[in-house]
Amino acid sequence: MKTEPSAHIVIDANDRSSSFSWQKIRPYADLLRSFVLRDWKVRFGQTRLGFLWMILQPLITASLLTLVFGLLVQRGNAPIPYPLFVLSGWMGWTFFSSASLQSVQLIPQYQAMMRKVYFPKAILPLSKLIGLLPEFCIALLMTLIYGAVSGSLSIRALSVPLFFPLLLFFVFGTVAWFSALGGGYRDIQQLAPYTFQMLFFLSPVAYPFGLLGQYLPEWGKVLLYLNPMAGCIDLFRYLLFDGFELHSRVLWSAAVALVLAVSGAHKFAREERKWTEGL
Amino acid sequence: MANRNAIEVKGLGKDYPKAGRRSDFFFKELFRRPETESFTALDGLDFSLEEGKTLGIVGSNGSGKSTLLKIFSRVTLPSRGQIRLSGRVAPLLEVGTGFHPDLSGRDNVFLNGSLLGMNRREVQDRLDEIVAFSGVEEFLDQPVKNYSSGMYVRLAFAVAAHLRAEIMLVDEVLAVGDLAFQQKCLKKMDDLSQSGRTVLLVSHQLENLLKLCDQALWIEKGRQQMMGPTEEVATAYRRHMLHQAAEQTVAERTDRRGSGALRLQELDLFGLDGKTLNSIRTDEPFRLRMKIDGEASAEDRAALRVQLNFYDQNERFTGSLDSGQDFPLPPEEGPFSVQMELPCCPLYAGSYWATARLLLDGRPADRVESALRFDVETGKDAWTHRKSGMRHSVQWKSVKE
Repeated sequence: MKTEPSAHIVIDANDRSSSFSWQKIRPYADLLRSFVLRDWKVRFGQTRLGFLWMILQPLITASLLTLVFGLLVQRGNAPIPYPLFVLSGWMGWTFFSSASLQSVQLIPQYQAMMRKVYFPKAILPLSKLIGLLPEFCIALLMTLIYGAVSGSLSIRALSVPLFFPLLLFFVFGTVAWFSALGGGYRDIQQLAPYTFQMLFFLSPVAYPFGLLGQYLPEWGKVLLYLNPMAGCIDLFRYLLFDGFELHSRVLWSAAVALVLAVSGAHKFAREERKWTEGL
Repeated sequence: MANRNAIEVKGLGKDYPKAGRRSDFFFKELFRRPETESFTALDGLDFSLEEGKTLGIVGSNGSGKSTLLKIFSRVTLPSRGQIRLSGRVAPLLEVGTGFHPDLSGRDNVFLNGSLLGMNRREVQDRLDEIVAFSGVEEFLDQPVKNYSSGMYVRLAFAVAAHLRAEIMLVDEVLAVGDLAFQQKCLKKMDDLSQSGRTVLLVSHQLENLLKLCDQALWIEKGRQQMMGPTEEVATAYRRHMLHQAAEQTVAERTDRRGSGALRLQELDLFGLDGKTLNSIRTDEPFRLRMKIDGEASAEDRAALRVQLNFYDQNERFTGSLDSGQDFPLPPEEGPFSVQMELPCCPLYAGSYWATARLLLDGRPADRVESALRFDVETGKDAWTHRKSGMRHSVQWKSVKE
């Protein structure tokens, strides 16, 4: 049998390298995959409908939001049907909010394992990110199909993959932050649901910001776009459909997303060191 | 095989922040930096081990053995020094880590394999072997929550034992499963070292260390006491243990652990006639008396729980006496004594050590290792006491001194 060249491992008290390094994660790629598969199997394995839920969930939410908000939001000269409007906002929102909410629990959930065996902790937030991607893709696919059927799809939709990393960066940043904080402070578990409830209403998922914008001064609008979700949703709607405009305020969102990603990785690495030192 | 070093340890040390300092509450910590008091669990370890050798680690409880293994397995980080390892390290620290109850045995084998650093191919290649070793073929596709605890442990050990890691870490794993499976594990460990794997073994059973290990490392209070051939280290360690306990009376002992709210002052054996005993017969009733002092308030004392653990001369755990929670209230202020009366001695003939533990509301107040040494002699109806799992009625009471 072929043996891999035995890797030298050095455990050094002064080693402060980040855990989001390819070198550290690569040998554990299979574990990362196992974590993702395990999450899926536990989530869908015991349901009757199984993976069909990934398709049903966006449908149900879009219908619910349409029922509730559809009446409130004036259609007027809306460029696309309201259900499509909701679906296109919700796909990014749910990716962001489920990944972040679930990552608050990550460290407490894996603590027993961390006490017994080493693995690069960075794969925990990554597993959430990867694990929820298929649901996002399915929702995106449904949006594309619906958009094509209703004739509102723009040619710009082809460039969606180019801007996809922006969303990934943003979600990665919040997942890293929430898992880092959730490990040290259990208060975050209590706080997180309210944060996301508030953020939901501060994101243009169910209504266009134009509705809010007429009551706000310019700095208020910028404030709204400091929530990167706002920028992401606006960007994707602009790319996917005709009839939407893109304001330069979206750049604020992009900047915040990048800052979140970099600082999140940094914060996670620092917290990780604290957890492991105490074990 | 070339005599390369598999393990090189230089100046290794580990400090832990003192327990209970870190607050779980976000806002408290925002405004107040956590205090940085710490205690030293390990300090100044320097040793190396050649490839393919088996190293046994001995030391009394709390000496830092488990901390050392945790550093080796990278569960925790050292505070000082460095370790160089020549290959992958796999812990058998606690088997079954990462098993998920809702997943099937097969899925768990893959999950556990990848947790221990094997890729899917490697696990697939060894799946048949693993399953055969564990003996759970028929249940492989059932969720492990339906497994008996024996099956669970066997499957977990099987995965760990078929790892391809170059360095294995083993902590008390021999205490796992039934006797036949233990034998199997012991043999597997022997095979591992035969096949050129480097093994680090922490065990309380000196006989197993002597059987399996080429070298032994003895640590005491976090410091390296001795490193060398197993026989030499084991002899020195055993002598030290006996010496330490014989030298001092319980009241003089300073190697205690716990909050110190209560302190054990004396622990003695008596006959029913009140005479002190050095040895007890298996067929005769006897009393154990513990004198306890300390500043714990009367209220706190009400939650006292007393435990005695017995170990034979091979450091093997043989039984315990536990007062439980509904212990009769110890009297209010000042020193008091706790007495228990047993109708006969439930131990085999031999020499024993007792470790005493005092708990207040479930938290350790005092712990004295090897607080009492005594011999047991076979009485005339010894056999009738040998039923396994037999419970003896023990009368507990507490008196003011």
